Amino acid sequence: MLRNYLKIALRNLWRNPLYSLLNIGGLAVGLAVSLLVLLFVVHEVTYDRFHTHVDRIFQVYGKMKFGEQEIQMAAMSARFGPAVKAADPDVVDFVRIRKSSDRVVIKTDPEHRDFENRFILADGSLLKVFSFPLLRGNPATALSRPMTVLLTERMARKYFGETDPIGRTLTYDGKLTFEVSGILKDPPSNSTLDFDFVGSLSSHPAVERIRNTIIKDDQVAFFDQSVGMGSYETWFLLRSPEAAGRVARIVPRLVKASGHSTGETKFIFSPLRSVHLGTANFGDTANLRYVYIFLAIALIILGLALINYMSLTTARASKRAKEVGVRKAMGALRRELAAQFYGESFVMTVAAFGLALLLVQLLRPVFFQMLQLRIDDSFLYGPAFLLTILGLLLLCVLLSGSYPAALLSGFRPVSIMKGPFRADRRSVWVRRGFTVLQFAVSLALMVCSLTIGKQLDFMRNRHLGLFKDRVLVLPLDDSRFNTAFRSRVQAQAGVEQVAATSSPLYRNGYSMFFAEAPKTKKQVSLYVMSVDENFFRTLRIPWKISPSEPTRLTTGNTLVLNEVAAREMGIAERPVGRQLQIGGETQEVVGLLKNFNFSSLHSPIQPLAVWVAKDTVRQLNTLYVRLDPKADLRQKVAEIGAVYRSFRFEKPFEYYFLDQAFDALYKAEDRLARMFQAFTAFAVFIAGLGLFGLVTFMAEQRTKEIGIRKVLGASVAGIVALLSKDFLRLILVSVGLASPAAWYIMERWLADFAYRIEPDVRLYVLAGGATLLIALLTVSVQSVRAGLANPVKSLRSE
Amino acid sequence: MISLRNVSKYYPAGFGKIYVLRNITLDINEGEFISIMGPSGSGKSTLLHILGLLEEPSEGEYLFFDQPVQKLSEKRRTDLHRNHIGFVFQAYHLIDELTVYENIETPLLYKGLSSSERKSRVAELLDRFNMVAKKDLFPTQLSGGQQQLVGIARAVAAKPKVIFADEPTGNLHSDQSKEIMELFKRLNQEDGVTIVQVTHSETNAEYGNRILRLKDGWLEPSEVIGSQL
Ligand SMILES: Nc1ncnc2c1ncn2[C@@H]1O[C@H](COP(=O)(O)OP(=O)(O)O)[C@@H](O)[C@H]1O
Ligand SMILES: [Mg+2]
Repeated sequence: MLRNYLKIALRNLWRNPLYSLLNIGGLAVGLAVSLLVLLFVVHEVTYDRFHTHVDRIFQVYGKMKFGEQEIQMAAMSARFGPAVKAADPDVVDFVRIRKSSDRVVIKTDPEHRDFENRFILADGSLLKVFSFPLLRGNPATALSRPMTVLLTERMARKYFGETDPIGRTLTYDGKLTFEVSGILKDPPSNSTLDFDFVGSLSSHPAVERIRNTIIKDDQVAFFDQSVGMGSYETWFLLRSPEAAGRVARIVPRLVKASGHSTGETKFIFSPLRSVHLGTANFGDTANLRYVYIFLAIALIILGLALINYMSLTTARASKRAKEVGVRKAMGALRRELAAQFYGESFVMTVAAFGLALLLVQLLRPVFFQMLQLRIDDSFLYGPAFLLTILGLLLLCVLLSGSYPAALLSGFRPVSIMKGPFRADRRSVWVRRGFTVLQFAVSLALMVCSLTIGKQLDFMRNRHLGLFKDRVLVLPLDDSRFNTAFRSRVQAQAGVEQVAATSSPLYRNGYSMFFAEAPKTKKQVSLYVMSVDENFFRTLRIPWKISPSEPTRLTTGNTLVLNEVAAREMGIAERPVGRQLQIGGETQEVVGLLKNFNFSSLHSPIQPLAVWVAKDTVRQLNTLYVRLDPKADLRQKVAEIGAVYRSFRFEKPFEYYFLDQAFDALYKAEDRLARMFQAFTAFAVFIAGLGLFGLVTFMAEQRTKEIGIRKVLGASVAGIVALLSKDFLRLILVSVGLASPAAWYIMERWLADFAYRIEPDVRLYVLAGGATLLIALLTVSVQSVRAGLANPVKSLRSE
Repeated sequence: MISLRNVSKYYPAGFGKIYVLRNITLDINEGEFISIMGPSGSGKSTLLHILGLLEEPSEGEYLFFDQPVQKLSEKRRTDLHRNHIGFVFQAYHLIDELTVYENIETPLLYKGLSSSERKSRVAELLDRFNMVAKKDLFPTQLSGGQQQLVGIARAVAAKPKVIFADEPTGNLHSDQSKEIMELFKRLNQEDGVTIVQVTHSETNAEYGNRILRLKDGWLEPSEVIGSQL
């Protein structure tokens, strides 16, 4: 019996190539897209699961109040880990990790020199607590001496090629020398802890001293004897997951015992399992939100593809009705017939799955590049993803078979013995519903794509209150050549202005200080940056109240505010001349800047205090070079690069353009936009495919009617209109359904932006028009063909 | 074997109902060959479907081998279709995706015969109907008469007690009709299969031993083709 079913299924496939192609192709595309998305989702939710002790590893956070804001910090003092371990036998081990926010320059020889930003320092227990396999070296001693380092495989290859790195050395920022004591397997892409170099933690004092040469021993973080907040991410391996609550409760006592007050600080032990998705600690749930968005989209695309399949399959029901009737008359039970149709869906789905896996292989690199995702190849063949694939296959077989099996097996034999089969009204309505749903989803996605794109454009082109075009930014080392280099750049042809600041705009964020509002005595948080006198001119930042005596700007006890800061401090009326308490010093306000956006447009402009320094000051280590509009940008960059190299700085030459850095702030939105564009394309494609199939069958079913109408004098246009009318009505219903939904979703999305576009009816009209056009084209291809067919032929075939 | 008592069939129409069959009382014995005749729309097909358990009467009682069929479970009814009843249709209704061989084999699959039993039974039928050379062809590759031969082979494959045929030769020309009728006669006489056919042709009706005439849903007194017996 099974063979009989299978045979029919395969012959049906073979006999109706167009139908099979549409059906399997549509399903395969849908499956491929959902598999890709699921790959990402599974990758996210399996973060850190590869650690053997994942359930018993906890990270400590300190939560404290700063004025109005609650701040969460993961950095603990050096004694924190050892003290907690000594105090509680449930603490098996601890790992302290020092992550540097700066990039470092690693060099083995002049040819092998590069920036690296994943150089961490860690206790040797890293190898015991976490499951990062050491390929070479002795795990017991690998990180026990100062100035030793473990490399990942990829770094070993990068810096030492095929030669054996063990025992060799590399220099760190040109000042320190580390000895390679082992090679680690590259951490998997779904690991929260990500690194390329792991130096021994005992190297930290040496590292600190290259930043601050005059630091005293008791100021070095590593020798800090207090228990409390500090410089090291601290992880604990506990005897059991349940111990976490109790261990957390003993911390305040330990902090007090070391002579500190815990104040407002609360210590939280957060399980490794939930660190990535941020389900346990408050704040960053961005990852989780992405997982949900992606998952929803995977399901929608899969749903569209399955619906497509079901609607095409049942559209062919009239062709299968005869067979059902005959089989029932021969004594087939309904469930046997249902099994048969399930079998056919199984064959189709498996074929589509095979094709989908192939598509996944093809599309994977493009897809991940587009969404800027990094997922190990090995993950694709890991058990987690294979299980997902199997589950999806099962789900698809079940779903795709269900409706056709229920519908087709339910035909009553008599109804078909009595003359030609007429599709029952219910299934026609279901199919209409399917079509409406498919186009509604496509349309909503299209509106979302357009809206996201428009908001991105809006943000990128908004006037920020500063001039960001043709501004080359050069992060420098704080070294003795800065001033000389600066004058050389200034002297270059094609350079209009040069300025310098303490921190690069639109890159890493800014330092924050608290200042007391003169009237209310409230603590107000201010972002701060140091700039040189030329900064305002170079970036064309206008004054609201310009300093009356420009020379006072650089005296060291003055500052300027932006309008928001003046308002927040309650001194908007007469800001100039006010004395502010900030950073433990008294400073006089000597000027007021007009507001300009110094960070992303997600948030409104924040209070800002700017110190102006002489351009010879060392910590102004970011240069802004405004180039002449007539200059060839690429050539200028090359020239400045040549100047840079002539100075023999330790850091390799590096630059970016200010407008690009600003655009890069919207990476998440950019990713979302691309994702929506891709998904919209897929959804429209699948919906179009489904519509094409439906029209084909409708035309086929009505061949005779069309023939008769033509004999009676109907024109081709009349026939096209006859066949298209019904579908176009459906599309209009979709427009009606999708528009409010898209409107609602986009309103919610836009609410996240301080600077946002208003909903635009034109986008809806555009999307609706495009959908209608696509549907019209799809429908007309088939209906024109039906209209042009020779009526005599079709009538004779009946 | 078959006995109808005051069977009526109606369909709802507007506020009233339309009677298609009225008060039919009828007995058919095993081994009979019956022809049902009557003008178009007189209810012949409906009667045949009721006899074949594809439709249920609206009123009256139907006994099949002395069992009241109204009370039969779905399973028992399916069982009767598998083992006791065969159908032949005017439009043949072969399954287009299956070959001649596979079409004949299908009822045996539902009957649950083993593969070797099926093989020998299908081979026997192919041989008997002179279709051995055509066994691997698909229905669309055959002429109408040949298709109907396959349809009959399929109907008798499961060795039913009775075959219901609704205008089996309605789409065929006279030579082919004759062949089919001869076949029915042989099945009836040699194999003892009871046959109930609907036909418009007096000539075809003559092959049977009794003719039932329907008019506007009423059954007229049956006429026995006595002279030949
Ligand atoms: N499902 C139905 N609903 C309403 N009327 C029906 C239905 N099926 C058949 N009829 C009517 O019953 C009558 C008898 O039909 P049928 O038995 O097919 O006649 P015959 O086979 O003698 O031509 C016809 O008038 C037909 O219109
Ligand atoms: Mg009829």
